[in-house]
Amino acid sequence: MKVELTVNGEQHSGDVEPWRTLLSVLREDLGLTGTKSYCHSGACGACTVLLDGEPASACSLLAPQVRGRAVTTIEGLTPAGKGLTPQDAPLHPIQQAYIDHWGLQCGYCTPGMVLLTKALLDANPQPTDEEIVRHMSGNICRCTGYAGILESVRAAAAAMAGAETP
Amino acid sequence: MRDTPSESLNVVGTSPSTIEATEKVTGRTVYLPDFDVPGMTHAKVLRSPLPHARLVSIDASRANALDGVICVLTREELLADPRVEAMYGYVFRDSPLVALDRVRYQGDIVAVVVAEDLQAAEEALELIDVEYEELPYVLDAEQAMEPGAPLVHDEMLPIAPELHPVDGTNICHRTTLETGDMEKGFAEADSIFEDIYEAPPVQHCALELHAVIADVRDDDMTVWTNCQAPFPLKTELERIFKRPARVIVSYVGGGFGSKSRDRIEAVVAAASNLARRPVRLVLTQEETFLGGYIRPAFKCWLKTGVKRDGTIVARQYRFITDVGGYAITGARSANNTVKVATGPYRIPNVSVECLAVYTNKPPSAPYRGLPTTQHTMAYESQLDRIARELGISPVEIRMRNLLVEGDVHVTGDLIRSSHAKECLAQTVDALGERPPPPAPGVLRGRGFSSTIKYTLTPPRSSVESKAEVALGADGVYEVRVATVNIGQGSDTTMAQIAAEALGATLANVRVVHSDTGLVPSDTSTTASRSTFHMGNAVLDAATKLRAEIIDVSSALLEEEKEALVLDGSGARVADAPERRISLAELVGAQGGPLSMFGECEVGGTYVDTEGRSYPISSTFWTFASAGADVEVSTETGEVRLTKVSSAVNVGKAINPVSVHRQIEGGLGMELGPTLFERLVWDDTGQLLTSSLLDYPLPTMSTMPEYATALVEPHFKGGPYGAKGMGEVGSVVLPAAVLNAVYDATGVLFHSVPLDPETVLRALVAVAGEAPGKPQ
Amino acid sequence: MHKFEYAQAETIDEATQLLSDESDALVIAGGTATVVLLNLGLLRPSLVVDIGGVGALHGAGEADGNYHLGALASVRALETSEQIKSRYPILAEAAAQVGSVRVRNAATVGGAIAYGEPQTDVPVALVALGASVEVVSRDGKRRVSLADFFHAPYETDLAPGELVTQVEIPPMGLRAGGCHVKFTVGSIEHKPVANVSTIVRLDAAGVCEDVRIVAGAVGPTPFIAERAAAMLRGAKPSDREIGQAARAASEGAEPIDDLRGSAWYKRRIVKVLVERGLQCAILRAKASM
Repeated sequence: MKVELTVNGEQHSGDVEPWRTLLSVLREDLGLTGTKSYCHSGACGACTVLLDGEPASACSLLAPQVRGRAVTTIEGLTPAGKGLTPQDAPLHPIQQAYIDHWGLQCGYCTPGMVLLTKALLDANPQPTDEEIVRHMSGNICRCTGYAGILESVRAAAAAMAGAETP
Repeated sequence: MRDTPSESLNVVGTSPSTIEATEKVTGRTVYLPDFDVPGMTHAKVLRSPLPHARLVSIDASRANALDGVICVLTREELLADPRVEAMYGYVFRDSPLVALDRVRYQGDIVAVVVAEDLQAAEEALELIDVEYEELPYVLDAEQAMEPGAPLVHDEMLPIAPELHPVDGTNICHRTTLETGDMEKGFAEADSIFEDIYEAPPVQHCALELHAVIADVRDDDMTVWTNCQAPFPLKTELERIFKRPARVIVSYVGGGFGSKSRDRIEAVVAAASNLARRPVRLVLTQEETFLGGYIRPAFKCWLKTGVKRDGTIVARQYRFITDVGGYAITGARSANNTVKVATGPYRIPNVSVECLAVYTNKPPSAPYRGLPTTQHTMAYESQLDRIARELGISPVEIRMRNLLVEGDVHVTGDLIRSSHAKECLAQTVDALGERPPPPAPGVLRGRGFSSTIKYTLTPPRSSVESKAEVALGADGVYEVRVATVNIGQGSDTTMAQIAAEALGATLANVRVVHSDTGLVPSDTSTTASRSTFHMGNAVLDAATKLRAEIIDVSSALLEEEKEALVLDGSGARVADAPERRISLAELVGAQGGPLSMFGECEVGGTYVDTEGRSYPISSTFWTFASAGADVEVSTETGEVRLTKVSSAVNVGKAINPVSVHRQIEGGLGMELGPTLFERLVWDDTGQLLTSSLLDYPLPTMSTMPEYATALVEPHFKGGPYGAKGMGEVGSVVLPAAVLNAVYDATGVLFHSVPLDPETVLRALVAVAGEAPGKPQ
Repeated sequence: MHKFEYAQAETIDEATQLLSDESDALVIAGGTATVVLLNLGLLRPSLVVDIGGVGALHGAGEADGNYHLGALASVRALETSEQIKSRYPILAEAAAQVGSVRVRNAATVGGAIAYGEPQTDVPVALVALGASVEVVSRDGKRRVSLADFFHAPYETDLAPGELVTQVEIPPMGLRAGGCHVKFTVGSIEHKPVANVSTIVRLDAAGVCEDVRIVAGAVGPTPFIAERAAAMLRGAKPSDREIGQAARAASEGAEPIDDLRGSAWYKRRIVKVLVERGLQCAILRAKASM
């Protein structure tokens, strides 16, 4: 069936079988492999994307379900200036915070964690530790033991508070 | 190995973020499930629904007839090709690529469908007609050792020479380690303590699923995989397929041991060989549980004799690991830990018996720390019981027994670097003041543990790791290593070592990893060995390259070598900096890249200054301690780990923050099996916990406060004094928690996980309530 | 993945028409349960009817004293809505404890009710609140009290062709306090051992006028602990009475042995949660006086 998606600000339209998940369409049809796949049951968060700015599990959405909604993947996070290649686009403060504060090791959960952080800080720019933990708790990381991620979120909040919104 | 300093360093000892971090945070890193190769087809695996059965017949004709299906690999096709060996295994050769006469666990590989798309492959699975004749099965290792137990294998085929199966039984390996005189030792003891401990299987749950792309052609083959041991895999594939093989490993999204040495690459390669097309298989999360990548079930018997003052005089230890339906690496993993099974202590009389046993459960895979974790749980937990009985503090009894430099280990090794006492002292300090008294209904406790970890060590002198460092026309150093980047920061570690040796900065270095076509050989990225072994190989190569560059520069600049300084931009005369040549110019002048190989040779014997010779059972030992603060709810039995500390002797931290984070990661990962993770089978051999929905993993909500410390006595022979530590956080955690819970409740648990129901039942029993009646 | 036909309904009529035309149809709204079950191959419908775009199923507001919630109200909306937090704090509290934020964003109140899983927090709280649902089909509408809506795990009062369109919640009343507590092994996102919603309404003298105790995950349907509640009605609640009521609730529940725990253990947890829930609900009721 004809499916229309708005992904990272761009309109995409194509013939997609309705049983395909959003995750599969993003990765296989649109080549956006930054969104990862592990449990296929909405439990792990590796497939986290933003739907109208709110965290969603791409594995638990059929592609046609997201018509009319804005999907943001990790590739859409960096503010890409006109004419800049993806390699040259500046990093979002959240991404920089994850680098500086060791919020990642193998990197597989990272796209999901970064987007989850964005949703948190957009809605709540000065979260308490308790609020951070409750919000971030749904995404699994196997490598870091979570301490680096918590520090990264705190640092991202501080950086974003001190800067203009990108 | 080279003698290198630990001080006055520029790059080693600093903590830059990993060199691939930017790629990872932007989602640009390409992992194996993220790319295709031209002409690629898709595979799905048909798995046995039964734990043990004869494969009576298999007919894939209906599946083959389905639109989009290219072929189906069954035993028929496998056996029909004389060029392909049917059996896999370079430690234990006991697993066929697809089932031949029987299936040996629920999830065993029966057939592989290859199709143009995944949808067709999935549908085709349901069109393969298989007839099974159920056989009696055994799901418990002890039961599997009883006379009359169903035999999982009729013939046992160890490859590694240190493995000793017991024919006619399910014991695929039995070994013992003895020193001193057990009878005399126990006779000398003032008290003797006996305990039994158990731990169930769990799963690593690395977020990146196991995947393979195999492209097998007549004259050669290429396999892309996320395996942690590319070179041994290459050798094994070449043996099976009788043609040159190239193994390529990209960045891996977590390994933890689950991605080492399994047969899945060989299976997919056999499918590609049949299909004559590249084939990709990506396992589902459920398949990683069912398919055989689990930590083995474990049980042990520990008998320890002590003097009144807490000195350990004798220790007798027997442990069984359940390797599952195929040994693959399960037997060797158990065997490797025999040398550390009795702990980081000075014990004159020791006897260890190791048994690795087949059952009809999924094959076990190495799990971060291997049974060292369970050994530590046993001996450290018992030690707290001993301490309490003798009226000595847990910390004090350890201090009295911990190995120090100059002691001889139970294996006969001379302990040349320990600092185990310092690790324990720093662990105690890092935990800080005891928290204030808790609220009613909550008990608080504190516990400690210490451990000794080994690394993979050859029986004789051998070159275990090689590296190459090259300088190319772009003036950038390229470090070529087979070490797999599983998230432990290996590329950065190797780059830091190379940069230090070359007087350069990280900006001048890039790393090429784990492609057997591009890098020199290595054994594996396991057993916390890479920083030491590959680090030494890189150091060797970089040092040689530096000498070569100085030589060449000296000739080109017509200056004495001693007058030259090398840094990231090139070579120059120290007191006349305008006399210089850039790295790129140097390469240009040479007419091509400069490159040097390096190696790390280990093993053999150690001879001390007095000429006494000692075996080297482990190239280095890692000593570490952990401390845990817990809260236990007397209402629900829930155990919360509120704070954990750990100090590790790492020799020298190449990248200190990275090392701290590895310790945190190890502690945090092992929290799951300690407090709530466990795989559960029903009586018919069906795995009940195959989905994440039924298998809770640690999350940020369950995270404790971490306080980690590094003890850095320069380790002679390590690159800049470094030695390995990647697993040790996991190894020390369960024992510290068990001891903390013992301190809080007075109950000494003898198994993990300490899930709330288990704890509550014990508390209720202690309180004299009858379980079964709500009070 | 199983292949199916797919239709998007824009109106309630379209939805019910589609459902009545095709008996083997699956309704999806948020998809948190349904798409996962499709992924796992446990559901194989011939038609999927996506009602996510039915505008009439959104919206909330008051009508004749009761509060009406459209079936598509997300669990996240229940957690964050000022209206819900002020009118039915127990519902916001229950919603806040559901899974992860990803799940709460997608899961809908109608979906949670129609799914009929005995441990989901939102239906448990709604049963305690005395809510009812509006069910629509081609043949008309009917209203069912949620207390009667759940028959067995994953079996509800919904007949083929029927759709949950609205939830109606009576006011909590004066001097009422509610509390939703849940106990999970490991992290809160996992399936709970048990959850309990407790609502207490006091009279001007501080005597319990009404008590509702509902427990999830400890029976084939949300368990209404009527005997326990009756012990507290008409009395000024003391620790002793609370303890007795908790014990009664624990004895009345019918948990099974499963991966979350044994029946014995679940009963212990019910007792603990009912005690905590009652203490908390009573405090909140008093605070509102």
